[in-house]
Amino acid sequence: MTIEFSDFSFRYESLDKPTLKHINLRIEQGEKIVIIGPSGSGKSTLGQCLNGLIPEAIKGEISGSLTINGRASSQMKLHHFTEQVGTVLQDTDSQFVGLSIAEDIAFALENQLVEQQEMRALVQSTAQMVDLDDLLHHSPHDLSGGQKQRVSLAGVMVDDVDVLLFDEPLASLDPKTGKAAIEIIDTLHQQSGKTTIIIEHRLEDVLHRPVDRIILMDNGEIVADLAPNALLHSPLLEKHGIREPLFLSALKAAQCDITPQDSLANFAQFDLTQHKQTIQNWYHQRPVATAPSQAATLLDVKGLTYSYDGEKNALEEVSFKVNQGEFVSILGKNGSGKSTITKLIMGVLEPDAGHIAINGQDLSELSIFERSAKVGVVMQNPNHMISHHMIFDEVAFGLRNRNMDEALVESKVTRALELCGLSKYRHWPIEALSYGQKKRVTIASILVLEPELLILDEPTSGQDYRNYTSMLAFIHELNRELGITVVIISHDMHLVLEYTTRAVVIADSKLIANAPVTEVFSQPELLAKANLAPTSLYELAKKADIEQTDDFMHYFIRCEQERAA
Amino acid sequence: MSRVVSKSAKMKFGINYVNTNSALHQLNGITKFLLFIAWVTVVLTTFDLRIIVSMIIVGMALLKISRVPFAVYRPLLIATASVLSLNALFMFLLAPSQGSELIGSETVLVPLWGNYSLTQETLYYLITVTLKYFSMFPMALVFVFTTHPTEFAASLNRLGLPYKIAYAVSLTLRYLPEVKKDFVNIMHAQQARGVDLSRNAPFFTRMKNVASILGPLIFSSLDRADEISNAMTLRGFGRHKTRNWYSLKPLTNVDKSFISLILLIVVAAIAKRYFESQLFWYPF
Repeated sequence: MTIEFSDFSFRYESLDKPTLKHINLRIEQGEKIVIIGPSGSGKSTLGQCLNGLIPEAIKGEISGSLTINGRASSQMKLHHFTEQVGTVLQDTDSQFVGLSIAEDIAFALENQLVEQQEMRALVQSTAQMVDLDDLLHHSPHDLSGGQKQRVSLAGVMVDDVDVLLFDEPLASLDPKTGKAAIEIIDTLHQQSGKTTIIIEHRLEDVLHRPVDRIILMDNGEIVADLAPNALLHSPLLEKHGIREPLFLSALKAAQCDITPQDSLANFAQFDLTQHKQTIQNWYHQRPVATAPSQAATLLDVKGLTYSYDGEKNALEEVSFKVNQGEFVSILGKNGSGKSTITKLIMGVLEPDAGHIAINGQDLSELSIFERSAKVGVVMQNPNHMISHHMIFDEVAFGLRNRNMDEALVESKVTRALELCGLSKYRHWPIEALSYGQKKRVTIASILVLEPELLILDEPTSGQDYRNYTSMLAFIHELNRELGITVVIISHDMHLVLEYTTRAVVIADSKLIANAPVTEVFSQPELLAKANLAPTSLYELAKKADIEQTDDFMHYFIRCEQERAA
Repeated sequence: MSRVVSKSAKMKFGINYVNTNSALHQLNGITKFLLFIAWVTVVLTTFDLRIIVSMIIVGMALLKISRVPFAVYRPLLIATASVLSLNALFMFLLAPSQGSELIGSETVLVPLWGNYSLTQETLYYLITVTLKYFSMFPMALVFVFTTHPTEFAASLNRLGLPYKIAYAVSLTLRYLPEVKKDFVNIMHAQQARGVDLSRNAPFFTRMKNVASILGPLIFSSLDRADEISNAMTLRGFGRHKTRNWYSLKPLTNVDKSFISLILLIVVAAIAKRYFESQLFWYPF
C-alpha cells in the first residue's frame, strides 16, 4: 500500500492562493516518516488531504493527483479514506467523544454496525495494546493528557487501518508524557508494520525514536525529503524556522567538525570521542560567572494552600519569592497546580491558607480589578481573553474600564501596539489575525495596564518555534529594557532554559525546587518527579565528562543569546 | 487576611450519573425512561393525597436503593422544597379561596382580613398540590442518577428517535464540563480587566457584562464543535443509516416484568381518573 502525491496542489475555497503547491511525494508501505514545517507551511493541510477531510468536509480546489494504494483519491469516498488512514488529532479532547474509554474506543465500530459482542472483544484487545484495559469505564475527565491520547490512538487502531496519521501529537503533552507517546507510536509501528506519518514541529522530541525520512515543508512546498542525519547536518532547519536538537546547537557552538555520517538523529548512538576535546576546550574558555545582584522582593508567596473540592489539595504550603526584574519560570506537569497559583494571584480564587504580597502589600486587601493594575496575566488561549471586534478597542478595554480620559487611552494604546509590533493593524478586526498575532494582542492588552508583574501561562502553546522565539525575544526585551518582572508557566524545556534564570518546580501540589534553571535541569530525578525530562544538552555535558553540567548549560545559553543579539 | 473556607462549603453537588452499581443501575435505560414517563402521567392524573403520599414514599425509597449519598442531592432537595413552598404561598395570595371553591365547603382556621382567611379546605388544597409537584422530584433524580447518558441515548434511538439526535444528547453531556471550563476562564480574564460581575455592579451593568462573556464563549464553542464534527466524520459517524451502540443493554426478564407492571399501573390510574366522580379526595 503506497501513497503518492504527484504535482498535487490545493487551494482552500476561502483563500486566494493555494496552500499546497506542486507536491510530489511517495510514501511506501510500512515507512515511518515525519512531516515538519513552521505554522502555515501546509503540513496539516497535507494531513487533511491524506485522511479525506479534504475535499469531503473541507472544500477547495485540487489539481494534480493523489493515489492511495493505486487508487486515485478523486474516485474515493470519505469512508474509503477512513478505512485505510486512521488519524489521531492534535486536540485529544475533541477526539474523545465517548463518555467512557470503552465507548470512545468503540465509536468507529458502532458506526460500522459491528455486533455488540464482537465490539466488546475488539475494544478489550485494542485497549490492551495501549495499556488501558484496566481503565475501560473511566470518564474523560478522570484522565491525564497522555491517557487521553492513548484513547485516541486505540480508537483509531480498533479499525485495523493501514496508515496511522498523527497530527502534532506532542502539542499538549509534558516532556515525559511526550517521550512516552513517541515510544508507544514506535512500538506500534514495529509490531504492526503500519505506515506511520507524524506531523510535528518539535523535531528533537519526535526523534526520541528513529524515523525513516523527514519531509520539511515551508510555504506550501516540500523543501527537503531527506534521511534524518542528512537533514540535521544541512543548514535547512535553521533557514526554515525549525528548532534543531539542543546538543547539535551546542556541538556547532563549540565548532565541532560534524559530518552527515554522524548519528545526529539518535544522540544515544552518537560517537563523541573525537569531539570530546573540542567541547572541553570550548567549555574551559568560559568567563567566570558573576553572582547576580540581589534586587528587592516583588512577589512574596507564603504558605499558599488551596483545594478545589475540599478534599484534595491542589496546592499545599507553597512558598517562594520573585525579585524585581527577574525572569522566573514555574514548572510542573499538567494538573500539578501551576495554573492555580495564577488564579490565586489574580484573585479569582481565594486561598484556603497563606498570603500573597506584592511590594509588601497583602493582595487579599485588593479586589480582582485593583490587583490587575499590579499583576497582568496573559492566559494560554487568546480566544478566551479577546472580547472585542477591533484590535484598538480590545487593547483599550482595560483602560476604559478605569474611566481614563480618552485622549490618554489613545496615546497609551498606540504605544502598547507599537511595542508589540501591531501598529499597522490598529484598525483591523481581530478575526483577520493569526493565532500568534492574537496572542500578541492579548499581551498588548495587558501591557497597556502597566503591571509590575507579567505572568504568561503556557506562552508557546499553539505556536511554532519561529513565532514563539520572536514573541519571547520581545518579552525578554521588555524585561531587560523596562524592568518588568516576568513569570512564565510552562513545560516547554527549551523555552524555560533559554529565557528564564530561575525555576520554581511544583509536583503533586507541593513545591519541590526553587533554584537556578541550569541547576534544576542538572537533576534528572527532580525533573522526573515533575514529568519533565533532561535535555540533550545535559546528556552532551555528561558524555563529554563535564562535571559541572549546570555551568555548561549556562555557558551555552549565553553564547546563544550573544549570537542572536 | 486569608480566610479558611469550611470544607463542606466546597462539597461538590451535581445532577449527573453516579455509578454505585445498585439494583436500579442494572435496570435497562428503556425501563427507567418508561418508569419516569409513567410516573409523571400518574401524578398528572391524580389529586388523591393517598396516592401522592405513597408515591413520595416509594420515590424516596427508590432514591435510597440507588445508594447515591444524600449529600449529593441535599442542596437540590432544599432548593426544590423552597421553590414549591414559595409557589404555594403565591397561589394563596392570588386565589385565597380556591380550595374552598373546589371542595365546596368552608371551615375557617385562621381568620384574616378580607377574603384572606385561611380555611381548612384551602390549606388542604395547597398541601395536596405542593406534594403533587414534589412527588416527581425523587423519581427525576433516580432517573438521572442511575441512567448512563449514552445508554439513555441508545434507548432513545431504540424507541425510534433518529440516532444523530440521540447521540447529540450524549455529546451535550460529554462537552458540557469543557464549555463550563471555557466559561470560567473567559470570566476570569474579563474580571481581571475590570468587568464587574459581582453583586456590587448595578443589575443592568451586570447583565451587559455577562453578555460580554458570551461572545468569546460562543466563538470558542463553535471552533470546538467544528473540530469535534471533523473527528467524528473521520471515524465514520453518519456513514450508515443506523448505528450500533456499545452500551445498549438487552431487556432482561426483570425489565420486562417491570414494564408490564408500570403499564398496568398507568392504565389503572387513567381508569380511576375516568370513572371517579370527585376529583379531590377530601376525608373531612
